[in-house]
Amino acid sequence: MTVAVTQEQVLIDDVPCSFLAAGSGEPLLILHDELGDIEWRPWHAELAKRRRVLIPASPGFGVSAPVEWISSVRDLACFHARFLRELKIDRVDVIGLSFGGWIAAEMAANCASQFARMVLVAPFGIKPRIGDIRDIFLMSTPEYLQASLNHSENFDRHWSPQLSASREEARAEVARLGWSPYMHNPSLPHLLKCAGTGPALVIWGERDSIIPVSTAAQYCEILSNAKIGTLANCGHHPEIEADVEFSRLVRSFLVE
Amino acid sequence: MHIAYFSERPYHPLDEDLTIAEGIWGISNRHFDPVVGARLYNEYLDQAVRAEEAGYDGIVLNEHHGLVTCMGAVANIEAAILARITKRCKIIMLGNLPTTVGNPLRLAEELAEIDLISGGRLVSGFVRGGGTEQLSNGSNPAFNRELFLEAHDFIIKAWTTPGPFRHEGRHLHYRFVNPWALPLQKPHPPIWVPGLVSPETVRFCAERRYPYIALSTYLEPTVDLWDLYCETAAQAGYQAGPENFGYLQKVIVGETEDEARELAMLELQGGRAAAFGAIKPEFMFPSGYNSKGASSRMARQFKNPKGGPELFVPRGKFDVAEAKKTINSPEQLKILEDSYRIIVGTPAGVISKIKKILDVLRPGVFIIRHSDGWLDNKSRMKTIDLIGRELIPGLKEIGDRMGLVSPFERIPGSRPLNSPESWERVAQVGALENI
Repeated sequence: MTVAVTQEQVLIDDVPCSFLAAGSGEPLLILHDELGDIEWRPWHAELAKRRRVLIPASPGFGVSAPVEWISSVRDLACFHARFLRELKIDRVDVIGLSFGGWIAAEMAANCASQFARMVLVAPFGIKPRIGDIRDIFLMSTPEYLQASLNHSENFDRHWSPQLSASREEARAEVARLGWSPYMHNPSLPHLLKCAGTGPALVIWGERDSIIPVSTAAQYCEILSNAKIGTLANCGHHPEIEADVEFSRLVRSFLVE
Repeated sequence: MHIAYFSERPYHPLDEDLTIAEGIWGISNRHFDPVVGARLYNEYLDQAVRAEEAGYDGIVLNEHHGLVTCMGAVANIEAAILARITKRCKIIMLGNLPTTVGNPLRLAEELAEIDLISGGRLVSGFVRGGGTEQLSNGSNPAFNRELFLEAHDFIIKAWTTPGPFRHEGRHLHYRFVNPWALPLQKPHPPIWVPGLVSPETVRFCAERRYPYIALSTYLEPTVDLWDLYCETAAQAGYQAGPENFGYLQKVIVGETEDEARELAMLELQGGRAAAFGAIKPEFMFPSGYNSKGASSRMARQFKNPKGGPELFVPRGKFDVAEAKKTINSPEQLKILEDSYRIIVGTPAGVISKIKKILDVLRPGVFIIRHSDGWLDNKSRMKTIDLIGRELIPGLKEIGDRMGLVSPFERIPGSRPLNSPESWERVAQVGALENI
């Protein structure tokens, strides 16, 4: 049975925020990554069989227009908290992918109770204790996608000329918000540590060349009730390279 | 016509394979030899002094960071020295980078000191800076344009509004603006703005009556930009003239045709003649630097209309030895000459080609860009003398005959408009046929 996917819109401070919605049941928020691909994927459909899946396009990504007053990822996190309020959702499970994982972590640091369960997938947001977050702005967008995948053949499947313009715009917005301090917020670990977050799953591709894999353990130290799920033979985007295993891991965690 | 001297002050020698393989930005500074650097800085200052003696009206300085073809990372230091050791020439900054210095108030102070020391000879110029400048200085490319505009307005205000005053803008926050030293020229030093193609920059200049200096851009799109300037000027209530425009052109001269060609071939070493083309696109235009529209215009601008190589192409992996053969070939020089990227010959030979450019663009400022090749000090001095002796007088005469008044002869923006609906073109599009 296929689930109907609709494109919807909600006004936040007079700013239209577009989102994909599908399925029914308890809501599940999915925050997209730095490439800003707001497209329906098979693992979304799997989740939408039991949940109402909501995938908002952050301002400046996809069809959502940029918002000038958003000048940090924390501002963006507050924007998404407002998104949930506008939809009258008090508590939700969240999956944050990479840049979206950083947004989810900021949201949790601001108000941990809005999330029942959190899945953070190779999130930016904290400075690695060992190594550095690779400079993704010293690479072209295709080079970045290549570097973020472990298997080069996956590049061909996920490099789409149709998406190149929206991916460029997405990266421009990520640059605007994450340029300095580079792709992290020094206050995030401190605020997240005492936030009282619920159960969390931190998923990392074991061959991530963008953010050191050891950062997963740092996140787990900070989050009060977190475990690591490592996916073998994956780079920075396990949801792309191992979507079936990824989907299984996420679904199993969400029904625990 | 104001004739100015420009050299980008290249670092040399450098392993040619390195610049071809890696581009002219991003090469590790472990290849920088301070002994060579110390000699070159002094030679370039000596050459600027020689240009003044040879008859040039102005000395142009530019600023790049981490670029092996331009040692002027802190051009204000060179400008300050020239302010003291030259006597007559204008010192023209094309330009300073208020977006990357981090503190535009400090920039306002530095420029005021240069203007004072030089006795009011500073021409200030501001640029957004390319992507490499952002990367070299850790500046967020996404804020480049808005920070540029705010910094520009702030610097003018710091020069012209009695302090102390307070500035709390979007990017700049000062609560006690009160620089003690203010420029000698009133209300402030003239401002010229160099550009490659951006219509936004052309409009910015026209609205503020700043001369726009095109940096060796292809002539066809430059004509369009001149028209856009004139149209914007008319909307602002004035008729633009030659005093509103400048053009920078690379000219390589020798006493004989053979000597000129020999010097011109040195231009090609390491792919430097392609200059910006030798920078990876992702460094030139990092994420957020350009709007989508600006990026596509930029791509068009750098497509050689005469069928030469496109400058901004993804580089990928390539054979350096093969690339070197192409880059260092007489055919490559011919492509550059045919498209007027470079003019080569004896003084008598080059003047007719320059005249063709002047016929099309009618600029009040003509900047001669000297070689970026690995010429030694002696050759550079000889070229400066040769141009001063045998080219500048002829060019001056042509400029006078054509009525190419400079910004120092007629204040840009002072020419009245016949009627708001009708404005005269400055560029002569018909003259393109002779190119």
